[in-house]
Amino acid sequence: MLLRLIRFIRGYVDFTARGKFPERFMNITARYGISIWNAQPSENGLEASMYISDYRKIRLAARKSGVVTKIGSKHGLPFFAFKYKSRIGIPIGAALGAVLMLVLSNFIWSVSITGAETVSETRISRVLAQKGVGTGGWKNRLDVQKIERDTMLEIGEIGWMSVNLTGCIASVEIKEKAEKPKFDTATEPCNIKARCDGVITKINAKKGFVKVPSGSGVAKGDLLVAGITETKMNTIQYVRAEAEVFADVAYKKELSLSGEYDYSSISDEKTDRNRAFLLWLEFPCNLQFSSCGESVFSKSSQSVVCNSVVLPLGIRTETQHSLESVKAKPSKETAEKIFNNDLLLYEAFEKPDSRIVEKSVTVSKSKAGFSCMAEYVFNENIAESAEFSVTD
Amino acid sequence: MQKNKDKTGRGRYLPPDIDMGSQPMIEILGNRRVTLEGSTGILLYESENIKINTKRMVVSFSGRGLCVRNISCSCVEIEGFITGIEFLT
Repeated sequence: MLLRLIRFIRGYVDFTARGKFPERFMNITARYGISIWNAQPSENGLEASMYISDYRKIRLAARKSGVVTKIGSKHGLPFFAFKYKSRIGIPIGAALGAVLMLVLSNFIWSVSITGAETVSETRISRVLAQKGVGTGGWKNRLDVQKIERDTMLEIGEIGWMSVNLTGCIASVEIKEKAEKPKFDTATEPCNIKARCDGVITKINAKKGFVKVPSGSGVAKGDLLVAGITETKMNTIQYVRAEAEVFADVAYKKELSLSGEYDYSSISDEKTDRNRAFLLWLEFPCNLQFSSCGESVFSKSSQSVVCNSVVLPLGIRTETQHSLESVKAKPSKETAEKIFNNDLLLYEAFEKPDSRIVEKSVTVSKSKAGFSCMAEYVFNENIAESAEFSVTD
Repeated sequence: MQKNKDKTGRGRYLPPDIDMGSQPMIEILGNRRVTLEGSTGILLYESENIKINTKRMVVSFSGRGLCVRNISCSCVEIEGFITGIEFLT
């Protein structure tokens, strides 16, 4: 295979040597160091192959041995190149393409991250990009092991990572650290007290001595589960009380909305600016100018995907939206919708572990605007540890 | 017996009293290929008979479809269906 390739690159000819002494011709060419292959004896001569560079040297050998040589067929790159000599653009284009391929193959074209479950991929890719593992990074200078170490130190949630450079694609594999379970290692005795007022509905006591029955009302700071008790032997026993005490707790939430307010709204007037990008290079595709007073920008990009690999080639669009100031006078229905949305956010983010038992919402209108009074009854855990010293 | 090693590292056991400097070295692979070292030229080149001159003798290979696969100034490789080898002095 290699020999065939060398012969193709150097170029060779199949020739016939006819005359009195073809054997002598072979001997002389061998003495000159000219290699002949596929030498087949034929009538009054021989057929063989040799390099085109050697064929130019055999004139003397042919004359000495009394043979006449004639080229049968020509093979190889020199003949191919000669055939397309007039079309100079083809070899130049091929050479430029080869150079472009060689240059571009030294850059990272795409980065894929796998295995990230809780850690944000954007955060990982930003940290990796700072260390050179990003689209358009020069891959030959990368010290992969150092990058892995530094990234793991910077993002503490990563337990193991591997950066693999396969061609122009950097594939990053990540295993996150398993979180240590939290153990209460404190040994000081403690009581469980009420965090707020409420009516007890359920008590799950793991350690300690329950002091209030289910259904009783408690005030903030009341003892619910005691960490101290007297044994049958008239001695005192101290424990670290652990319990979940669920109680119905009443909450009030007040919201207000102005009767008239200003806000900025995105108008229909917008300007798109497209830019083609290749690796880190960007070329403007159109020039759009606008005289917007106040405006906001949004950016989007569309990349070429080939064989499920995102290539660093595509179009980035920057859209400029102009803002207009709007005066709003909300109606009662609109105000109710706004209050409802705010209350949903309150329930979701401020009371995520609580169960709603009762809920009543009252919306009233005044001169200043609208006000909302929401009354809740949440069923939630009101247990709160209160440590004490044995000497107390 | 002295052990000489060629370029490929293969050992060849040669009798010590024979002067190998002028003798041709012939390596035969079955009856399909012959490599002859110590050639001084080809005397006859036909598809049924190839005669190769060496310093001490002429080696004649007879057979069918014989051809020279490679040739250099001192080495000839012959390929084909070899039926006989003669040493003519």
